[in-house]
Amino acid sequence: MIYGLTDIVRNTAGISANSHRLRQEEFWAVDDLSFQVSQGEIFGIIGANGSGKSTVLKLLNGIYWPDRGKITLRGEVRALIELAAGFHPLLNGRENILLNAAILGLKKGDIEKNIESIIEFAGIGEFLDRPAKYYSLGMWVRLGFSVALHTYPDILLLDEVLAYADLEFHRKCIKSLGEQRENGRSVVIVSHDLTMMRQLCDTVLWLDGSRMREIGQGRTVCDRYEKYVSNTMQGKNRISFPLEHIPGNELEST
Amino acid sequence: MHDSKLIYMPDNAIRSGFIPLLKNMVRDLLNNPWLIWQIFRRDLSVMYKQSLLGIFWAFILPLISVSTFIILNRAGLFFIGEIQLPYPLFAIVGIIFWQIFSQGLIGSTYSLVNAGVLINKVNFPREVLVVSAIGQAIVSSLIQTCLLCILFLYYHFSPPWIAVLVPLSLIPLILFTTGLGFIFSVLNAVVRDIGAIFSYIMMFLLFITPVLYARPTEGFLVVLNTYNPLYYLISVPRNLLFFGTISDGIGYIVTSIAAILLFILCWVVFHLAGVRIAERI
Repeated sequence: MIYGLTDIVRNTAGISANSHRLRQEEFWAVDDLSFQVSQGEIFGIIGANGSGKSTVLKLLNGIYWPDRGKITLRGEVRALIELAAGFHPLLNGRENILLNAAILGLKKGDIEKNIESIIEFAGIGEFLDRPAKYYSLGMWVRLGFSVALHTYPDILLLDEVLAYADLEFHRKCIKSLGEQRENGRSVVIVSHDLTMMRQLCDTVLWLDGSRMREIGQGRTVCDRYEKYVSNTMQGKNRISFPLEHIPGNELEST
Repeated sequence: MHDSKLIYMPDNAIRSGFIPLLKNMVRDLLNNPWLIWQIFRRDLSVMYKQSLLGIFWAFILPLISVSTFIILNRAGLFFIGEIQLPYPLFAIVGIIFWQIFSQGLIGSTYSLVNAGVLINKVNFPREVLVVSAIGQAIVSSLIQTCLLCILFLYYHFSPPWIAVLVPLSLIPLILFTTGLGFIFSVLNAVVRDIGAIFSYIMMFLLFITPVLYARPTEGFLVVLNTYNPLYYLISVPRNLLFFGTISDGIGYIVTSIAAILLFILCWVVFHLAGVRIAERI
């Protein structure tokens, strides 16, 4: 609380918050991280709970600003970080679509042009006109993902949102993410579903304890991560592992 | 592909300079009228869904407040002063204008905290939450105006033609409320005690501001209300509505200018504090 007030007062007075230094009880959620995502690339981020994956997405989405370094994004960014952020349980599906699309930055004309496509993609049928409080988590995913997709962003950020999708919708989403790539749009996706990440991602970043452990070809990094987890469960891993640099990656140092 | 380029660095907002900052702030709001409308519509419809009384709640609170003071006055426990109007008319108008301030300020103070997940999961101009809360207060006041119209008919009272300027005369009150709303929404997001103490502060301010009674002509409250901005921002529009005159013109002009400056300053603070809110909420 005191740190929050101090930072607000300093920024208001035009003084730097000096957030590049840790204060007592603070920690780096993400540290010493540098990567590039090309146009039309699907970039995955994997790692254990608390390794900083969601924080990376929030940094890319401009919700947090970096305390050190720089983030550059070219194009429009849209994110689906929280399953139903912007949805209200007392509003029906149609009203929630309008609300969520507006929150994600769509203008009235764009929403009206795309609303039928959004409804069709979501595929929640007669529940569309019922209050969202009667929806299952999977139905919220359908609505949220459908809206995010139809904002046609240059960069789409997804945070573990497909975990609750049923098989049919899951496949539909994978297909549409592939179409994003073909249309020259980039996707940054966080997920624990290694099968999907192997199938979908061109590049995968493995975060471990808020730091980059490995970055490289999707299938390779996923395999190494899975082996590491397996070894950990069998007690075979040592406490620290040397970081490996995969030749051919352009790691930007900022 | 869109041509836009975004760069995020430490202390981003203060690096850009004051004029670009102001331009960004205005642009954020002007580019999002549809978002403001959607948030406002959500809050309005949710307020009255699952409510038996619905919009009639807007009538109940002013009726209870005014009735309480009428009873206390008739019992000799509360002196309302010299009023050249039927008291219910005087009091209802006072409460309607007061509620723009009190409901607007309390609603906007809680607007960020109530948004919760939205603040640290979605990037959107957070000003829309405060603006929407102020909008709710204005709509409630408009609904209460129906009650006022009924009282006008009952008391056979016709406002003077210049009363059409009353909505304009309320703009400084709205800006004053919005400015304070920006500041207190940020503070409440970080220190939750702020919101909790507000209902008590509002009660205190209601009693010391001549909303439900005529301005005293002697005593401590005379001095206090000379420097109380709410006195001018409520009483002047009320006098304009009933008598077609502007009393305490100088005080009203000074207060209005201060309200505009406060609004701009608080908005800048709110914008600069934006990222810190997401970190702390």
